[in-house]
Amino acid sequence: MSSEHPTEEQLVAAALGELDKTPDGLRIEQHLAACPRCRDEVRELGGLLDAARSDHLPELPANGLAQLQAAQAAAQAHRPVRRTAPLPLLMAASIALVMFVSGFWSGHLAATRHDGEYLDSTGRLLQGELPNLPVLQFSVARAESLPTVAPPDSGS
Amino acid sequence: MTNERQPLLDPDLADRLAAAARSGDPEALARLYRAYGPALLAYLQRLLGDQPEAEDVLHETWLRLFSGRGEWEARGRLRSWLFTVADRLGRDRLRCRQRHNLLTPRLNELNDTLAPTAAETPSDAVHLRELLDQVENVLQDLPPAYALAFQLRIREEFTYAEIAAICGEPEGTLRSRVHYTIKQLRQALARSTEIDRKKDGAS
Repeated sequence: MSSEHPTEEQLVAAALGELDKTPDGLRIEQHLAACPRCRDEVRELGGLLDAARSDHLPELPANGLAQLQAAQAAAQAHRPVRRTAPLPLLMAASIALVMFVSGFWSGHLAATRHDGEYLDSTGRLLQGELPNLPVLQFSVARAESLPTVAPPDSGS
Repeated sequence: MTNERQPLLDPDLADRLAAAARSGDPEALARLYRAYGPALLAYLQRLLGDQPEAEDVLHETWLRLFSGRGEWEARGRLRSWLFTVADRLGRDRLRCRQRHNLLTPRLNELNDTLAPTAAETPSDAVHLRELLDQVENVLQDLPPAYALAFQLRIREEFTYAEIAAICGEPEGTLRSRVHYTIKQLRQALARSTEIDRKKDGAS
């Protein structure tokens, strides 16, 4: 015999397919290839494990699945309904918000204009007529309803 | 009444079915429940040692699949996730029982490292059914931690790493429990074969 017999622990490992490629594992594999007695032991252990695997499992509770499916349906009912088109709605809402804020902002700017000068939304001083955008026109209308602000160069 | 053990579902298919069950598909849930329910119940019966409570925890385990908490994620394999949840919920029950002094040293037994000697289990035949009974007797006589590790490794064919994740024990401990159980089974079988031989010799 090329090497001493494996321990019971090692035979169990062999039956479980747990031998690794370490020198120890390889030595046991070699031994098993050469030793009919140990091979028989591993086979016997394998048979025992096969028997243990073929156990019968318990019956599921009679109404278990039905109860779960009812709970599943209830979980669906309580889940928030997903909107079919949430993105367009969100976009519309954000555009409306931007229009409102910029309208308010340009209205404020328009209130400070004089002699054809106005500030655009980036703060640059521009001259001429306001661009014909609905938002700005709305703002100008708002600005004209506000008290006039004295031009900065006419102050004393 | 008992069930024949079914071949395992393909893990990818199981994960897809789980996603479908979470979105409300009752048929997907039924397939998964039939595939994994009996083995989970067997595990819980062994953990809790009580049939109605095991069924209760089984139900609770499955509820977690489609509870809104989103505990199940596709990156974890469904089967080991289910066993992990069942194990955790089962141990919670044991702790709860212990707090209310409803017994039993069972939870402590789960951490036992000392295994009693296997019971004498005389048998007069080596039919599979009787062999299985014998296996069952040996498992019953071992601390639950041993039988649970054996069940997950041999019957459910999880790796030690997976079992470690399921019940939160080190792989080395689990491995020695599985090996110890197998050795006990082997000794019990050898004893019963010995008894058979003596009987045959006597008759």
